[in-house]
Amino acid sequence: MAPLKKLFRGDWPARLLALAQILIGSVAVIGIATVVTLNTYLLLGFAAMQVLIVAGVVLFVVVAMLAQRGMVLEHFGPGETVIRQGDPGRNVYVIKSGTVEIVTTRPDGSMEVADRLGPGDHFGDVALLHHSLPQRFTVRTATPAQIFRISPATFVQLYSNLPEFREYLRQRKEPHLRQLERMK
Amino acid sequence: MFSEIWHQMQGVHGVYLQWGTALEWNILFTFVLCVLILVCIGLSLVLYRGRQTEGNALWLHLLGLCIFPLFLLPFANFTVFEYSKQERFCASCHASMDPYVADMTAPDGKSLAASHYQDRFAPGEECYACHANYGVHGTFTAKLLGLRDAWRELTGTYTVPIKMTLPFPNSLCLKCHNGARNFMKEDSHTDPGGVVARDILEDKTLCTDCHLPGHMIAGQPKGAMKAS
Ligand code: HEC
Ligand code: HEC
Ligand code: HEC
Ligand code: HEC
Repeated sequence: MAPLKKLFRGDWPARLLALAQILIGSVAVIGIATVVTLNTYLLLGFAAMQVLIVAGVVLFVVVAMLAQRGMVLEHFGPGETVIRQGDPGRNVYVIKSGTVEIVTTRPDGSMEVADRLGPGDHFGDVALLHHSLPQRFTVRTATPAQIFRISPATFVQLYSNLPEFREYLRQRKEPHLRQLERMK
Repeated sequence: MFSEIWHQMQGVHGVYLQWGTALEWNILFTFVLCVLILVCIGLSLVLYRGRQTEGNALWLHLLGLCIFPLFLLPFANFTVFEYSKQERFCASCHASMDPYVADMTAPDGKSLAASHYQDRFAPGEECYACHANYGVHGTFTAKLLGLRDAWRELTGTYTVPIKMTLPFPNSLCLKCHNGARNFMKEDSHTDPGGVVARDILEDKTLCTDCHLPGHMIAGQPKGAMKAS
């Protein structure tokens, strides 16, 4: 039950995607069993399961279209990575609930928690605004967390059209960044 | 799979078949595509935990949940379709189908199935050659009936003697015999002018009305030879 719950967390596009994975994955498992054993009942089952492939593909297409939405609420368990140091910066995140840790990797490879952020805080904008710089830190959840993921296009539109928004960001400029810059 | 394929290479009726029939390629592609799909799903679960609907993950999903599955569809269908044409597929339901296999393959068999088998008219695919409208190969309704039969075999709930749901249509015989010399030269098959008789084309007289019964199963009545 627990792994199933884990697969089915998140907003509903994520759940639909998990369903698509289960549908198509099970057809693939039965398919392998079928061609390896050439068992009659597996063969008939495999034939009947072809509709699941169609269902799964349709689900995927729906999800792929939804994922183009400007803002998505994502659900994370504790200890999960939201962004990874070194990845290209793409999205901006705003925390709805929970706590995340800003983790940096020191040159010797060891990890250090540089900061903690909570509801209302955001991260990811610096990497995005600097022409998709690689992320300079890893963000990891400390507790279960709900985080809005804002697409680059949506963010840039807000950023370039609303001077107040720009000002707000500058003031709230990710505090840990200043700290990181001091450390250099 | 490989022992099966090896077995198949030994051939039916001792005839050596070379590796590389359409069926074997399809089995291979089906296998590879299923593995690729599972790899993509597995990778996405590991690499994009909790971020399954994000941009980069979607590219992986495009492969694993869209492109590979769409490729799998025709290969899987072909595999099922071709494999189930084989006599050994029908024969794999021992309880219900064995008497018919035994009747057909008996060296001294007198039924239509047996005399055709003796002619080596469709090596390896004999049952399908006559019963081309049954189960997997038939219409949607036939497919459902095939699944029903599978269920009955599994649960042992079919009744003996097995009855045809629908009468055996002449068209299944005519697809081979129509126009063939041995068939056309026989007056009882043709209307004046040398065309196939209307009654036969319209299933008003069945081939099995005059000819041997399709099968002669021990303990079942319709044993006698009807024509000539
Ligand atoms: C999964 C097991 C199974 C397989 C495989 C199978 N059969 Fe059958 N078949 C049955 C059973 C059980 C029945 C009897 C159903 C009933 O009448 O209750 C049956 C009935 C039939 C009938 C008469 C029923 C009707 O609806 O007309 C035909 C004809 C037939 N089978 C041909 C075939 C042929 C040809 C193949 C191979 C392509 C085949 N079967 C493969 C289990 C099977
Ligand atoms: C020469 C063509 C031919 C071949 C080959 C053949 N059948 Fe038939 N089969 C028939 C015909 C014709 C009937 C219909 C008989 C009737 O209506 O009396 C029939 C009927 C049946 C039935 C329904 C029961 C009955 O007797 O009406 C089953 C089951 C069946 N066949 C199974 C098989 C299986 C299994 C094979 C392969 C081992 C096979 N047949 C091969 C022609 C064939
Ligand atoms: C896959 C093709 C095919 C199908 C289907 C088929 N036949 Fe034949 N049949 C042949 C061949 C090949 C021969 C041998 C050559 C000949 O006699 O024409 C033959 C021979 C015959 C013969 C004479 C030979 C003998 O030994 O009895 C009869 C009668 C006959 N078929 C009737 C039928 C009937 C009835 C059906 C439908 C149930 C049927 N056939 C379905 C291919 C087929
Ligand atoms: C009105 C009865 C009748 C019907 C219906 C009938 N036949 Fe015949 N058929 C005969 C007779 C009689 C012969 C000649 C007997 C013989 O040579 O053994 C014959 C001979 C044949 C032969 C040649 C046999 C050989 O030894 O070369 C074939 C093949 C054949 N029939 C196929 C069919 C098919 C297929 C059908 C259904 C489409 C069919 N027949 C329907 C009466 C019939």
